[in-house]
Amino acid sequence: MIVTEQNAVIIYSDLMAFLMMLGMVCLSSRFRGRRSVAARLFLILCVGAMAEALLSMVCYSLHGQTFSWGRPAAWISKTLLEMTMLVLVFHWVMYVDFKLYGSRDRLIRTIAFLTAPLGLCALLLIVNLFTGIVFTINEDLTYTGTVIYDVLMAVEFLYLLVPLFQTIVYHLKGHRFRFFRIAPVLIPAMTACIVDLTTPYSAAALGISIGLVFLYFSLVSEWRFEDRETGLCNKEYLRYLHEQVLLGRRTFRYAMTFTAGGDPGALVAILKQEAPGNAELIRTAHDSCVLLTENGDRSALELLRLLVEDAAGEYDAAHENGRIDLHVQTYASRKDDVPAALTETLLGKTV
Amino acid sequence: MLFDLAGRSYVNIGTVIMSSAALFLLAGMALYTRLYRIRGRLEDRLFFAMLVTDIIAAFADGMNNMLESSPVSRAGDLIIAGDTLFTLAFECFAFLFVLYADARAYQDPAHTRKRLPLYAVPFVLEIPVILGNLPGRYLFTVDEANRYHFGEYYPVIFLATAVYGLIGVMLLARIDARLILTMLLMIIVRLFGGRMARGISSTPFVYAVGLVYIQILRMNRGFYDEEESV
Repeated sequence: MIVTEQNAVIIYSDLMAFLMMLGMVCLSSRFRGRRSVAARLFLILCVGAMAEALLSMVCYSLHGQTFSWGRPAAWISKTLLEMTMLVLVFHWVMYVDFKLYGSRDRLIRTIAFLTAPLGLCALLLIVNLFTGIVFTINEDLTYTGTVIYDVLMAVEFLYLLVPLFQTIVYHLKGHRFRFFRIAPVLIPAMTACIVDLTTPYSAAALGISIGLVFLYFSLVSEWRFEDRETGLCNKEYLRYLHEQVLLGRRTFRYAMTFTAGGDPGALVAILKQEAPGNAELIRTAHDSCVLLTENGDRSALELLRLLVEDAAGEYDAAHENGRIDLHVQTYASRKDDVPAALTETLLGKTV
Repeated sequence: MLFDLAGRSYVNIGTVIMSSAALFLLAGMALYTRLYRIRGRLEDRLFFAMLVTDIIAAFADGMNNMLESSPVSRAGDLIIAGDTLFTLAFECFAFLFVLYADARAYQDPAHTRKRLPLYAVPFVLEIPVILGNLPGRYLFTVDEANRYHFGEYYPVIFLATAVYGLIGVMLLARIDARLILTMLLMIIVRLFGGRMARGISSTPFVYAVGLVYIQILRMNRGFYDEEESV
């Protein structure tokens, strides 16, 4: 089998991308025991990237060959490659949506809204196997795309870009990003797409794999500071925030501590419901949580306190045997305080 | 196609793609390992040094392949300078890797510092050999058309790397056997895959992937050495 020089470059970069993903999935022990939607979606993305790299290797190995069985193999591998790419970028949209809002209900609505183009493209690819309306396989097993193939590429590109708009909207709503950053994933993936579109070489698998490595790093950073039981941040995160304040990267003006004398699960549920999107909510012990805000005024904090106390009061009235017994304490950073005084006080209280 | 790649060697293009990928990977790693640098242990500083060395290697390798066969004046001299830098970074990375593996395996900075002069011997011996190539051109050279050619003694540069490789494998066995397996797999693929791809250089990329593997294993442990966060 003679592989052309140009295809050798593509196959080699696909092989490297495949190995990078394989090593990442095999070496990580952080996935063990993780059953969260985000972890599952991320694993799907990794498997999808590996499948994409493998199928791309098959496709480009067949280019320019004259095997008798090569034609059906080329049809199937190219169709599967396009399908995999579509499913991969679709899961990327789902992943970002879930990472931003953490809501299964919202995710289901997003899936319902965004499945239509995916379904249509999948249908076109199946029809293409019998009609060649998307692409055709030539005598030398190279392929020629039609106008519909360009539309398919545009859909893949759009799926890749939709998360960018999702994050912009999320940011405009006043939410804060903790560890998840979209740029380190999008930049290598988009660069690879541009290489694909403007040169005869393909580096899609490589670009996507590099993006997924960065996504994994941000995911592990997040898991490190995640309280597995409640999904809030853990005590280590408070320590991390304290280090950020010491480095002058963050400042906090107000803090509130919430302690449940009774049911701590109910307290967490209330805080998740009532806490503002830009506040840091940390579970420092089994029965207590801390809320930190960078800005805002005392009246807003008092309003929040009343809201939480009302909700806790309602819960206590409804659950005679499983009361919350809420205790709230408010801390404010004075003008003459050193910036890290507030977080240091909170850390001292949680030791 | 937007860019006219006709006349460019596929080896050059392939190498530029792999070097660019390595640069992306390393730049991202530099961002994501910032907290470890702030932590400032010996192993953290050595990891960052490996990262910087590989960035230099990737940049030099990419630049050499961009310049090869180019009509730019003094391109030949730039290629020789670039490849000298690449070779030095290639050797330095192996040296730093052994130091890193020692720091991780023994968890004792005093032990690593004590072994430092011994570990440095192969690298220090290679430096005059590599720099001597600038006037001598016995390791690699370029012709009048700015095409790169291996010299008679080119394999000499692999001597120090082979020594470091052996020491590194022994030290890695003390850290995590899976790391040896994955790194050996990458090196085998680099050797045989590179042959399949007929000379595409992907050494900085393979090193970068090695750093990704190391980082993943490092992240398996807690940042503050806790087993697993609450």
